[in-house]
Order: sequence, then structure tokens, then C-alpha cells
Amino acid sequence: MAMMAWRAAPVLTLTIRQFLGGKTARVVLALALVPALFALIWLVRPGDISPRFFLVETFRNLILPTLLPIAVLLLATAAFGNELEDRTLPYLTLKPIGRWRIVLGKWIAVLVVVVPLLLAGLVAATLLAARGPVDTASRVSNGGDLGPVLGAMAAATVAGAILLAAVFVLVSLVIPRALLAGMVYVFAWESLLGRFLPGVQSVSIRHAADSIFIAVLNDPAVTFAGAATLRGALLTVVIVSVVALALAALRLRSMNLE
Amino acid sequence: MSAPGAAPTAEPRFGEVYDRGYRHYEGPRHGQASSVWALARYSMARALGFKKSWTAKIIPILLYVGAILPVVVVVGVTAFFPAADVMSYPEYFSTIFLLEGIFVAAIAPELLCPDRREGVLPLYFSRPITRLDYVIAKMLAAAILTLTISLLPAVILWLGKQLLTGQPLAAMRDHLGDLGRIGAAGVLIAFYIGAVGLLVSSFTERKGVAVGIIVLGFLLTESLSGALSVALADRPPWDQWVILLSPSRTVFRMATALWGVEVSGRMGGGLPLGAVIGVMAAVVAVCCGIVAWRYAARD
Amino acid sequence: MTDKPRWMPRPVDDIAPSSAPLPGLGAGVEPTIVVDRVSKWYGDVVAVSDVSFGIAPGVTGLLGPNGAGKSTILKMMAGLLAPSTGTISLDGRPVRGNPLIYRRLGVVPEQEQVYPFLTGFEFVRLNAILQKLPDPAEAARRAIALVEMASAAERRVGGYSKGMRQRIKVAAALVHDPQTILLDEPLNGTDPVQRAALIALMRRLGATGRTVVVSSHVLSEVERFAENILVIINGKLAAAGDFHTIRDKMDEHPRAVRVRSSDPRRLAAALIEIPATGAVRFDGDGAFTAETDDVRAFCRAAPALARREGIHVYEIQALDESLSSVFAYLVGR
Repeated sequence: MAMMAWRAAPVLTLTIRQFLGGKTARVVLALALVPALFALIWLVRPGDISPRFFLVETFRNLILPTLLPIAVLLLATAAFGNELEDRTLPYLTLKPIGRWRIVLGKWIAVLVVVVPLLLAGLVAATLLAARGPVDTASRVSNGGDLGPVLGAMAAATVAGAILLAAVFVLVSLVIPRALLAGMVYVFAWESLLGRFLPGVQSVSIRHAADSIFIAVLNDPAVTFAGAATLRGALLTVVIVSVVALALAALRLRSMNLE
Repeated sequence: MSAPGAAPTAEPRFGEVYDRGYRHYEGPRHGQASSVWALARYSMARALGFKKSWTAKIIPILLYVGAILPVVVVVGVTAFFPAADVMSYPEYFSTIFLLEGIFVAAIAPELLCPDRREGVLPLYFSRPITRLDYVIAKMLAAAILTLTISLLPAVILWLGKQLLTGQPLAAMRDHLGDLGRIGAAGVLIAFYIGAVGLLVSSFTERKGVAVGIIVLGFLLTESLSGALSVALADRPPWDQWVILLSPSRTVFRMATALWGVEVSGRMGGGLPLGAVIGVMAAVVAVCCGIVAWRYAARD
Repeated sequence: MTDKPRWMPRPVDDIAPSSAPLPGLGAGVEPTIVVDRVSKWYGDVVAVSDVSFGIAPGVTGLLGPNGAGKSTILKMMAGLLAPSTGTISLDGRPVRGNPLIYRRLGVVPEQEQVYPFLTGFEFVRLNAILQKLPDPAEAARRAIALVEMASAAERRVGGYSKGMRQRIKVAAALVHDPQTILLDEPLNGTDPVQRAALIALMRRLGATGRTVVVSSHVLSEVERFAENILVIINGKLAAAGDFHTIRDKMDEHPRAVRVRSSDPRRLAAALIEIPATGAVRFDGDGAFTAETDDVRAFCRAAPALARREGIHVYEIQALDESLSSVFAYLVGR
């Protein structure tokens, strides 16, 4: 079994082993459980907030802008970053395999680790939220339709992870402090600049993921100005990811490795 | 040692061991303070990416630009609309906080993590530098660097505001109190976030992990303390004290209390300035204590 | 000086026409690796300066003091670094941007780090898989046996000693049985027994017609396995060819020798009589500097002459940091 994984996808298997052996995966696991923690705190005093509203707000204001990008960034920048830091990358590049296969292996490894963890965290938060206001009518009206919310959250998470991982695998091959650059991007570009210049927002990763969330949830009450259509957002995810991965392969080809 | 296998030669071999220029240093020696300062200076240069490629410098530069940009905007707007008080100092300090957080995440791991990952600590400790000297030098470096971002832009803001009035000198004299408060706030923030950054960095060799935990810590504790504050609404004063779990809210409350600005209970309006500063000082002391303990010799 | 040497150290300012044999190659020998007018600089620091040579099958030692540019050259030969100018080819194909070249090339990198979470066997097998070998496990076992690591193969690399890590890296580089092998300081951190085993292995590889390039800063080591050496000093090719021939050439090379004695003028006058001595310059403080084109003869003659004249010689020292003194330093280690 392990042998088959090694033979079928050596770079992928190696990178997953790398992640699971280090602290990064544990930090990502802790991050994935944060929504559940917030759900627990909310359960103490739900007030007039319905489970559905709680989930939507938590996802759009905490998970999408903060947790998801940092969780993906941690792994995406470590995928090559750790090898560059430890100078082990030559063991992969001094091999007769296409550079795109190395890049692809790293990228998929990020997704294989981060997506299940984040989805598990979302499921846990949803299950906890479903235990919300038991004694009010809101459970009947809102508790029952948490499924679509979970589905929309999962779709947006997967799309956001794909896009973020592709872009930051590339960035980590270009800039030595890729994780910091990622933080500056996520918090300066997406949060601060986006607030003042709406145009900036529509070319941000968060915008694409948020649009997918809105479109999949398809709830007239939950939307924002300038949201892209599902098709448009998916197209953005695919095109940007493919271009980023192709550039990463080119960069790996021309990189100088000390 | 002669070269084995080399053909034995009849002539006398000369000068096999050359003086490679090694000399005992006989000159004056500086004291401990100077070696600590040297390490601190080197650490700062490294953290800011001096003598490295532009890609290593770009992040610190962007962060400095980001910290000064609001100041430029505020001063610029004030120049055209003198009546408008665009941004008060507490507002400035809370606006800039996330950026300062990222700055700490940029420099603190750079100060501690590579030395441990590359295993050069034994090299330092076999020099006339003790473990405590090392930690002190790193703390000094962290404090100076965070001061440059927490204090300098605010001082520029103060200067700009005064220079735009009719009589700059008189205005400066009148607003000396503000300058004092800026100094106090800047120092408190620098020590506080610097200590937290070093604490996190002392627990991992990977810069990436430290960077992530620091930035996330600043962000998540804000949401967490907000949520806890709501959950504890019927147990005052705990709903206000949980605000101090979050560095950003702590700094906001510290700045507002310093300038005597009223804020709502949810923002910690009921917390006295002394208590906030006390908690910040305690955090600094505990963080520094733990970092020193992490680096202390153990058998 | 009478016999024409098999090779010539190439003057740096002389760009050889392409028809002339490359430095490091005997006449009529086909090179596996050709390094053609390669320079590498970082900003304004020149690491390698206009180096050309060829490497033929057999074991070649890449020799030079630490920081001379050996590692940079080896990394460029491995395709890890792009030369600033010039080209490097293996079997007539460029090594840079050509991953397929690694089917015929095995590289043992300089860095000690190996994935610490893998066992030695897993690491070598990973290399076999990345080489797309039909039976990676079997190839890994064979390569591990070559470096005598079978007993430790199931342990994690993280717990290996330096020498064990070096050997597992060698196994990983040999797993696909490449025709050409580059090893960057492979003997670092090995104990004498491991060193002897690795040296025997490199000799075996060279004897079976493979091209083996080994960098080292210790000549006495290189002598034990390398038929040919390339000496790199200050980023330039200082010498190429057979060790003993180079050594003889060194002593014929003009160089400065400083002599300190009780009566420098009289000693200098006596020394100027022998043919080995060229120009003499007095430095004061009982010393003079003599140019000589035959250090051996000069150093044989000086003490004898001094004794005859009743002069005390305090010190005879080769001065220049040039090729010859650095080479002497290498030999002396």
C-alpha cells in the first residue's frame, strides 16, 4: 500500500510524510478546529443568532478571510520552503522527471493535507451549530437547512484552497519569505486595500471563494455587491491555478539551487 | 603530515607548515556589553534583510511603507482641510496594529529560528557570550526593531500635525503631552508584541510555523475575545477582562485610556489604564522569562 | 623542462582555439564532461573565472582550498547552478535545463541534510523511483550494499552519523548505475574505515570506465583515488592533469623566496652565482627576496652556501600566495 503510493506519486508521498512529521500539520489541525471552538463559545449564549446565521457569518468573516488562507499558506509555502531551507531540493531536481511533476506533487500534497482537515473542522462546527437554540422555533426553521450551508462552505473551501495553494507554491519559489508575503497579501491587499478600492477586491482570491460560497448557497439574503457568477469564479480558479503552477514549473527549471 | 604516496625526495623539505597569518589578538578588548550589542546589531541587520537579495528586503520595506502611508495621508489631508481632525492617535494606533503584528511576525522568527535550525547556538555559547547574553541581545534587537515601527511613524504624525499649524513651535509646546503619550504607547506596544513574537519563535525552528502562529494569534485572539465577551455578558466584569486576551484589543484600550477617550464596555471601556498596562507588563515579563528559560542550560 | 608534459596549465588570458585539447585531457582522449569558458559571479563577487577543462572516464579529483570555487563548479556541472557565462555539457548535451541528463548522471550534493523522517532504505528507494527504475526496491538494496549500509538501512536517516549520511547519499546517487558521478566532498565526516571503503568504491567505479569527479580540499585523500586532478584556486583553474607531474611543474615554476640570515648581502652575492637564482631584492631586517625558477635547487643550494660562508640562515620561506604556495599548502595537509 505504502509502496504503491511511493511508486505512483513519489513527490506527493514524500511531501505528505514531510508535512505529517513536522509541526506545520499540527498547527493546521488546530486551525481547522477553531470554527468548532467558536461554535462552542456561541452555544453558551446564542442570543437571537440562529445556527444558520452563525455559520454563514463565521465562515464569511473568520474562516474565509483568515483561517483558510493561513492554513493553506502554511503548507503551500512549506512544500518547497522546507526543502529550500534544508537544501534537500536537489534530491528531487537532480532526477530525470519533468519539473511540472515535482510542482504538481507538491501542490496536490498541500491539498491532500489541508482540505480534509478544514472540511472536518467545518463538519464539526456545523454539527455543534445544529445543537444551537433548542428551545426556540428557530431550530425548526434554521436548524434543518444547515446542509446547504455546509455544502457551500465545503465548495468555497476547496476552491479557495486550490487557488491559494497554486499561487503560493509559485510565490515560495520566487521569494524567500513567502509566508510573510502571503500574509501581507491576505491582510493588506485583500482586507485593507479591498475596503477602499472595490476594484482590488474583484481580483482577490477571497473574492473568488466568497462568490462560490454565495452562488452555491443561493440564498437571496446572503450576498454581496460585485459577486462573480459561479461560472466566472470557477473559471478564475482554474485559469489562475493552471497559470501559477505552470510558472512554478518554469521557475523550478531555471532556479539556482545552492 | 607529509603527503603519503608522494615520491620521497632527497633534498631537505622546507617550510612545510606555513604561517597562514594567524596572530594572537593583543589589542584592547571591549566588555560584555559590546559583544551583546554586536550580536544585537547583526541580528537586526539580518532580520531586515541587509546584505541579502532584494526579495529578502521587500517585506520589511513594504511594512515600513505601510506604516508610514496612513501618516502621510493624514498629514496631507490635514494640510488641505485644517479643520478636519482626520485621525486621532488612538485611532492611528489601532489602525496600524495588524501591520505591526505582521512586522513582528517578520522579524522575531528571523531573530531566533535560523540559529536553532542551523545549529549555530553551540558556536555562540562557546564564545564569551553566555546564554543569557544571547537572549538579551535578541530581545534588544527585537525591542529596537519593533520600536522603529511602533514609535517612528507616530512621531512623524505628531510632527506633521504640529508643523501644519500657524505656529509650529507653540503648537509643539502645547502638544508635548501628546508626544509623551505617543512615546509611552509606542514603547508599550513594541515591548508587548516583541515579547510575544520572541516567545512563539523560541518554540519552533521553522520560521514559517512561527510566522503563522504569530499572525494568527493576533487575529484569532481578537475574534475569540469578542466571542467570549458576548458569552460572558451576564458575568461582569469578566466580559471586559477577556478583552485582554487579545493583543489588538488590549492595545486599543491602552491607547484610548491613555488619551482619555470614552469607549463602550464591549471595547473594554471599564478597564482602568493601570490595569491594562499592568497586564501588558506582566505579559512582557512572562514571555521574556519563558524565552530565557527556553535558552537556559539544562542537564 | 625537457620532456613535453602531457598537459599544460592553461594561462587565464589565453582563450584556446577549439581545436587544441582541453586542459585536463590527454591527447586523443574523448571527454565525458566539457566545461567551456565558464564564469560565475554573484553581484560583484567572482566565484569562478573563465574556467575551461574536460573530464574523461576514470576518477578525477577537483582540488582546492575551501572557498576556491570547487563547489560552485561542481554545482554547475550538476546543473544546479547556471553559469554566468560559458557552457557545460555532458556527453555533448547541456546539463542545464535538461532533466533527462540525470539518467546518466548521479550527484552526491554537498549538504548533509537528508530527509530525516525517511529510513535509509526509503530514501534510496525514493531516488530509484524518481529514476523510474523497474524494480526500485531491488536497486535500492543493491546500492545500499555497495556502501555497506545494509545493517542500518531500516533506521531513520535523522539518527544517522555524518559518515552514514554521506554513505547513504552515495548509495542514492549510484542507485541507477549512472555512467557519470559527481561527488561534492564525500569524505567529509567519515571515519578512516568508512573513508577507505568509499575510496575503494570510487576506484572501482573509475576502473569500470565510469567518469567519477570528486571534490576535496585534502590532497592526500584525493591522491588515493584520483588518477587526474584539477586544481582550482581563487576561482581559476590553476593546474590540471596527473598529480606527480603537476608537483614537478610546481617546483620549476618561478616564485619568490624570502631568506633571512645574519649577513644577507654576502649570502645573496653567493646565491646569485647559482643558475636557479634570478633577481634579488633586499628587504632590510636581515632579509632579501630572491626570484627563482627552481625552488628545489635553490633550497638545496642556500643552506650549503651559507654554511660555506659561515652565515646563519634563520628562515627560508616561499612568499607568494600564488598557485605554488597554495599547492604546497595542499600537499602539506
